[in-house]
Amino acid sequence: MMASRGQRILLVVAMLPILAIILLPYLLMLSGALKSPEEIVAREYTVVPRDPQPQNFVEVFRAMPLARFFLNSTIIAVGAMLLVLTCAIPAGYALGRLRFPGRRAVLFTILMTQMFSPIVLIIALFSQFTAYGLLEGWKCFIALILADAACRLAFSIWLLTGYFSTVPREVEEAALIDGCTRPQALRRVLLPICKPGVVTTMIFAFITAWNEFVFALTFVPSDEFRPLTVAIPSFIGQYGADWHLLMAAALLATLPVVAMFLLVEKHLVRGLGAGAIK
Amino acid sequence: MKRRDTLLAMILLAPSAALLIGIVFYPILRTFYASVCEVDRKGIPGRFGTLENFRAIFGSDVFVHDILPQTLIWTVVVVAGTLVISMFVAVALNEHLPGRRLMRAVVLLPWATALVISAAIFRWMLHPTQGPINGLLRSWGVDAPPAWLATPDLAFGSVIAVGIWVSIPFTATVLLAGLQAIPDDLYEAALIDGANAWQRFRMVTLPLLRPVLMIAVVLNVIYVFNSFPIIWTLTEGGPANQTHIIVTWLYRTAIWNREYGQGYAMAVLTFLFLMAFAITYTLVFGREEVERL
Repeated sequence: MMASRGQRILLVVAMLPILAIILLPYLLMLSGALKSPEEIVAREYTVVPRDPQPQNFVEVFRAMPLARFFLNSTIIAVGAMLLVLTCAIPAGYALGRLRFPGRRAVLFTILMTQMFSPIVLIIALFSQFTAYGLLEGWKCFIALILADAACRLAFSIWLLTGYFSTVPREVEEAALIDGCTRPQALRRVLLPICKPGVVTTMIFAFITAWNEFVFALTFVPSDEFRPLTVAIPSFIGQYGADWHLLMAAALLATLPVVAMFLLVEKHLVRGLGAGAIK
Repeated sequence: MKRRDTLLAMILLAPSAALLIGIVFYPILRTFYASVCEVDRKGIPGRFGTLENFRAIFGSDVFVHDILPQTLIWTVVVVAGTLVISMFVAVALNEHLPGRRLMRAVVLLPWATALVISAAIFRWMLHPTQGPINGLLRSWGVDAPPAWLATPDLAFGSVIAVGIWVSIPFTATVLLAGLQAIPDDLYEAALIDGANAWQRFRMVTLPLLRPVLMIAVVLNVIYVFNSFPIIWTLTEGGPANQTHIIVTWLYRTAIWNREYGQGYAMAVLTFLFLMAFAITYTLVFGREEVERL
C-alpha cells in the first residue's frame, strides 16, 4: 500500500505478536516432544527442555503403533489422490476444452457440491456404507477413499478446468493435425503444459485426505485401521500424561504435509480464489 | 465435430458424475427423505410423512437455548475476528517488508496442519496442571491459573480463539491475493492528492477489495459453521454442553446416541442454511467465473 518508512516499521512491530502467537503452539510442541517423562509433567514449566530427549521420536513408535497409523494415512491419502486425478483430469479437460450444451450447468452443479459439508452427508453415508458392508475391517479404506475423493472433487475440477482453458487452442489443434487423437493430444501435449496444475491438484487431494478427521472418526471400525488424525488425539484419554510422546507423534504427522503445502501454496491460491481474485 | 465433442464430454465427465451422484447427491436426497420419516435405531427410514424429527429437535431445551445461540456466537465471532486479524496480516504482507517470505510461510503453517492435530496441541497447552500456558502463568506468579476447558465461559472463549487461529491463513491468503491485484498507480494518485495511510486504505483498498472480501466472508461462514474437529477434540461440546454447536450436536445426537431421525433433520437444517450461503456465493462470484471460462 506504499506506506512511509515509519509506517512500515510500525507494521513490522505490530506483526511480531501475531507471528509469535501463530508460532507458539509449534514451538511448544517441539519443546514438549523433546522433554523427559518427568519434565513434561513437572510443576515448574520450562520452555527449553533441560535435558533434550531426541530419542522420544524413536520411543513413540514403540509406545503406540505409529508406523501402522502412518501406513493407514498413506493408503487413504494416496487412494483418494489417485481417485481424484482419475475423475478430475478428464472432467477438467471436457469442461476446459470442449464446447457442448449444458457445460455451464455442469460447472455450476459442481461448484455447488463444494458447499456440502461432510457433516451434512455423514449420517446418510454411514448408513449406506454400513448396508454395503464397507465399514468392516480393511474395507473402511474404500469408504474413506470414496468419501474423501468426492469431497475434494469440485475444487480439483475447477482448478484443472482453469488450467486447461488457458492453453491456446492452436497448441492442441497442431497436435490433432499431426495425427494425434484427442486422448493422445491430452497425454502428450496438454498434460505436460498443465503440469503445475496437475501437481497442485495431486498434492491438494493428498493433504486434505491426510488431514481429514470426521469421516475417519465415523467409518473406521477398529483401532488398527485408524489414520493419524484419529489415532493421535485418541491417546489423550488413554495415555493422559504421555504428552511428550503425543507431541512427538503430532510433529512427525505434521512435517510431511507442511513441506508439501509450502511447495504448492502459490498455485492453490489461484484455484481457491478462482479467477475472481486475479 | 460438435456432436462428437458432446459425446466425448459425456464420457469424460462420467467418472466424476458417478462419484458425485453416489457420494454427494444421493446421500443428500436420502437425508431429506429420511428427515420426514420415522427412522429406526439402525438409521433405516421407515414410515414416510412425519415432522416428529423436527419437533423433537425444537422441543429440546438444550438445542433451542444453548446450541442455537452458541452456533450463532461461534460463527459470528470467529468469522469477524478472523477477518479483522487477516486483513491486517494481508496488508502487512503486501508491503515489501524485510523477511516477507518467512512471515508468509509462518502465517500459512496452521493451514497445512490437520485441524485435529492443532486442536490436540492446544488441548495440551490448555491443560490445567500439566499444560504450558498455566505453567507459564504460574512461573509469572499467578497462583491458581484457571482450568480453561473445564469452565464454561473460558472453554467457549478458548475454542473461539483456536477457531480464529486456524482460520487466519486461508483468509489472509485470499485477501492478500486481492490486495496484490490492486494497481500501484491508484495509491500513487491518492498519495499525490494528499491522502494519508488510513484514507488510502478506506478510499482505495476497501472498495477495490470488496468482491474478494465478500468471498472471504461467505467461505469463512461456511467453513466455520461446519467446523467440527476443533470443538470435538478440545471439549467434545462440554462442559455441560456449553461449547456445542449444531454440527457437534448433530454428531453426538446421531452417531453417539443413535437418534438418527433427529440427526437427519439437523442435517437438513444445516444444509438449508448453507444453501442460502451457497446461493449468495454463486451470485457473487460463480456467475462471473463461469462467463470467464
